[in-house]
Amino acid sequence: MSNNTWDDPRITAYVLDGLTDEERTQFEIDLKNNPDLAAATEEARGLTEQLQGIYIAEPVVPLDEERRQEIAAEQLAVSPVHVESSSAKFVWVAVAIAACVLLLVGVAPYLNRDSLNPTVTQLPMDGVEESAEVATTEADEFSSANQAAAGSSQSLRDVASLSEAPGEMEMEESTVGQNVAEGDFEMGDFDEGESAGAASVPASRPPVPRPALTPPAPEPAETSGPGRVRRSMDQASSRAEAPESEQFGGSLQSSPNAPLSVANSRNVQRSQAGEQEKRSGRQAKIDADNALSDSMSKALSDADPFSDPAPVPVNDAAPADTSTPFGDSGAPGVQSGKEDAGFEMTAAPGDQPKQASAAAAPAADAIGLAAANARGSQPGLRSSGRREKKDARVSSLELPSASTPSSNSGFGAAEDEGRGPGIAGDRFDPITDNAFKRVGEHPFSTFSVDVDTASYSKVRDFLTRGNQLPRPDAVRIEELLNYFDYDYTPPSDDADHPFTAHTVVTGCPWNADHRLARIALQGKTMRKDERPPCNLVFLLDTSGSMSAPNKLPLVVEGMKMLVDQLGENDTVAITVYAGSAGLVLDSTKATKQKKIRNALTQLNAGGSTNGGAGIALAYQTARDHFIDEGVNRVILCTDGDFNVGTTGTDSLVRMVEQEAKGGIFLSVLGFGMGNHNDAMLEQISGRGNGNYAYIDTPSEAHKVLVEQTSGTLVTIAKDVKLQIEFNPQQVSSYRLIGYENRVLAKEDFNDDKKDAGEIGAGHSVTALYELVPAGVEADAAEPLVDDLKYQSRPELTAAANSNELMTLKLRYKQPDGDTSSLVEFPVIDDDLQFENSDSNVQFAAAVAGFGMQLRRSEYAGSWTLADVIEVAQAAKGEDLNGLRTEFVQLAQIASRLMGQE
Amino acid sequence: MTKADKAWPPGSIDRLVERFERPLLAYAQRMLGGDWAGAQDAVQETFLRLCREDYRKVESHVAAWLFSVCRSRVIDMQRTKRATPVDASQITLPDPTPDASVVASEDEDKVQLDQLVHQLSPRQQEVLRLRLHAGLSYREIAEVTGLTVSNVGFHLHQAVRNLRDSLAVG
Repeated sequence: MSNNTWDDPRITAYVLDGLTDEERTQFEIDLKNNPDLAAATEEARGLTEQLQGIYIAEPVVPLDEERRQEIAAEQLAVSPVHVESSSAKFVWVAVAIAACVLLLVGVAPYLNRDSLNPTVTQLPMDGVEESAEVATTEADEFSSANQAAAGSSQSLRDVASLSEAPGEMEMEESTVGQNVAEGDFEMGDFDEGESAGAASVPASRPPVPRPALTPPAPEPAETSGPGRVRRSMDQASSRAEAPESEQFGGSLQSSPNAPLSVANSRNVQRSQAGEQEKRSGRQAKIDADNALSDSMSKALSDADPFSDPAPVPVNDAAPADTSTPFGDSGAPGVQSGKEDAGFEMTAAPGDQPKQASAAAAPAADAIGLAAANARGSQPGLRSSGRREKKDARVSSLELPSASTPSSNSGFGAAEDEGRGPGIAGDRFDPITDNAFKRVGEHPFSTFSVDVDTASYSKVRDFLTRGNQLPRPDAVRIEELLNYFDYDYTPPSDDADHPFTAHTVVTGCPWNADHRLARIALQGKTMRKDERPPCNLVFLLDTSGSMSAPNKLPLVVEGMKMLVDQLGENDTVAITVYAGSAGLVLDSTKATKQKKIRNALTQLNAGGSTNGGAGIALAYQTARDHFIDEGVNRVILCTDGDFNVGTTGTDSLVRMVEQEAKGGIFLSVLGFGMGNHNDAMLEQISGRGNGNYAYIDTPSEAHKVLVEQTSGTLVTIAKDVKLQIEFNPQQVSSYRLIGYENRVLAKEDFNDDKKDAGEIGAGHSVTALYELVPAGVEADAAEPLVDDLKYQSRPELTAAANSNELMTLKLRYKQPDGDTSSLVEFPVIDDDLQFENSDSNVQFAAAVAGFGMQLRRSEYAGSWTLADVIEVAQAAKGEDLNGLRTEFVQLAQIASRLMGQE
Repeated sequence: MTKADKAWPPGSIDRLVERFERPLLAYAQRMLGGDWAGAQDAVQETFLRLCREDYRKVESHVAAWLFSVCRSRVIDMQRTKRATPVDASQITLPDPTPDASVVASEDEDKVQLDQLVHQLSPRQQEVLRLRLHAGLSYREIAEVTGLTVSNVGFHLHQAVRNLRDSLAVG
């Protein structure tokens, strides 16, 4: 193809969708007539898809949690949720701005007159006296804020030098001053509408240029007029509800920033300072208003449970902070001056609100900073000056609870549970922890087994590669538990059932009053030569999003490992799906290693994802080569980004379910982070009678595809359900740890039509119950329901008086069967203490504890990650494959990230 | 008109953060020569401004708006390159050594292409990224960069063509 072809810019524009409709039509005609052009276009398309893959695969550190929270807080501050009060607030801001503009008209000339030299940028004003005055009066600050708002850098500079009497800092000041002006100019822009509308309110009021001369409290009223005071009181009362005051606090967040950035005399980055100033300029107006009305701050302090620190940030009129310490100490060490002043003021009795309000903000900052420092290991806290302040503010508001284990202080924390610091695009279904249930009301606990391990690998990927905490919803405790091998004895070859059950009851390590019951199933193991012939169809996602090195290349590597494990009776086919689905390798004997490997090596990622068509093709291929007495399985390898085609989750799930009934099971291997659709993958693998593993590293691929080949390929029992009946004489309430999305209704247990989890050869299932012994009331159980009026409680049976704690019932079907078998085991509590139980039980408890910590579960009890680490470390045992050691390392990383060290 | 009308519907900001966080960070980071902390500052600031913006003014062209604001933030930052005092112990850095799986399966073509992209002119890199990573349309890219639409097309084509030529030679 000649280079001339490439002179046509439409090639790129066509590929990148930059043509108009007519141009595109014309170009498509040209394409048909010009094979060179078509080839070039194809080339360009391939190239751009590859590029897209590169961009997507780029490692990007996502916004850290603090930043996200700040954005969330900003939303709250601006959000219309509390429409009345917030609009009142904004009107108020507008009024303030309008006042500013008007004041400026009067004040600026006055100031210029007053300040002997109108261009005083470099000259200290005539002194400490002045600045002291400024320091003691908010009204003056108010007017300085006004000037700022109006964008007059001239007068602003005056004020800056007014308030910053000592000469050393003039350079910074003048810069900052300009920024204030600039920033606020934008601000004024933004609120233009309102300010114009509201301008009439203060219009009649003459400017009050020197209120500094009359420091005492009443003057705010003078500045604002009766109407204003009333309004701010209204505001105050409307904020009396807690959420409101929180929101209010949120909106004030940046007010301490501006003074601090000046005070720290850092070379504040211009734009940053500008921005801060812009925000604080706005705040300043609110603040000034607030400061104007003592009643307002009173109301707030009444409303807020943390009445000591809470009003503090409310009152900090921005420029006031700066001037106060100067007035007081006049020392160049502004920072320390501030802190001193702050601490003094905190010590001062509260009946001087006027004074206190000027210095209170530094106090809050000082305390807040101290708190932030004490908490220490917050990642990224110091990355910008602004962050620091914000966090300090948060902790100052939260002082009483600053020591809570959750390091994510701040308002966003509670409602943020589901999101967390993930990679945008990853989707997880929300999980709500199982609650304690009373045995009297819910004697049965029923759930489906789950042998998946995806969540653990996912968590590991978050912690090690992403160096961040996983989202709580990404943590499925049962999958963490099942990731590990606990050395359960498998059934003998001639056993009746394909698995054995193991139960242990021991002390609950995170709650001394409770007991912990571990229930385990161990599937029979299967040697390679016992394995039935396998008809495997790999369905590989080769869409553009798979091109990251931890995706398609890892898939190929994993598939090669698996193929190595297969024997002469096994066949392998490879289908791919991207923009369109295709059969890369028709069913081939697994012994033809070279052919299979070649096919795998040639795979390339590109195009979008049509998972639906791909799955249909894979099932078709599997049906064509169906082995009656063998394993027929589609193995889907994807990052789960199903974005084109008939891919409602529901229709996919129906197809998968249908095929599972026809004897073709589905296994899902998830790869990569970024747009991993965890929720869908878990669902379709569950419905497809398959398992779901998440493969993040070659060693994980080895574990799933080599060490557990049989388990991954051969199902030994399907629709395995567990039901536990508790003895009310022994247990008052219970809580199933994990398995949240596997819980079944008690009726489902005996309903053979209800789908449930599968157990593969050699797989084990571990479940933990936290039990509250009879006579002890669970702290967290649901409220009691009244006794029935028309029915009496069921009589206890004779068995209730036995020493049985509970009965474990199991139902399962043979892999090709339709009717289930039932097995029952009574369980007795031998009063075993946790310290004396075997190391496998202890390790399982540690894993569950780890999961609860990551989920920030309210049921985590007295444990912290330090306990998890300690117990896991002690219970590591031989740990031949190093997985338990790795677990301890993960817990340590998590501990560091959570700031629990 | 009340302020409430201007506010963003609940959840919309979150969705925008989800959608644009990574492309914005990558874009800003690239422009800042790999300074991820700076990129984070810029992107955070961009979203903060978005929260405060009247959404009716922005919603029709939110992608372009985000990138324009982010871009001017970055340019501002470049203008006043300075040292911010940062406590190194407070920063979480991604481990610079690639993951074992990365090492194991590095795709050579990709690496080569990746390097070639970095040899393109900054302008070409920028428009490519905006088109392919951020998914902006030609018109939106024009809005962000201040180029004309046809100029955007020209730069994009030059970028693709250069890459293609270098690949053909290499």
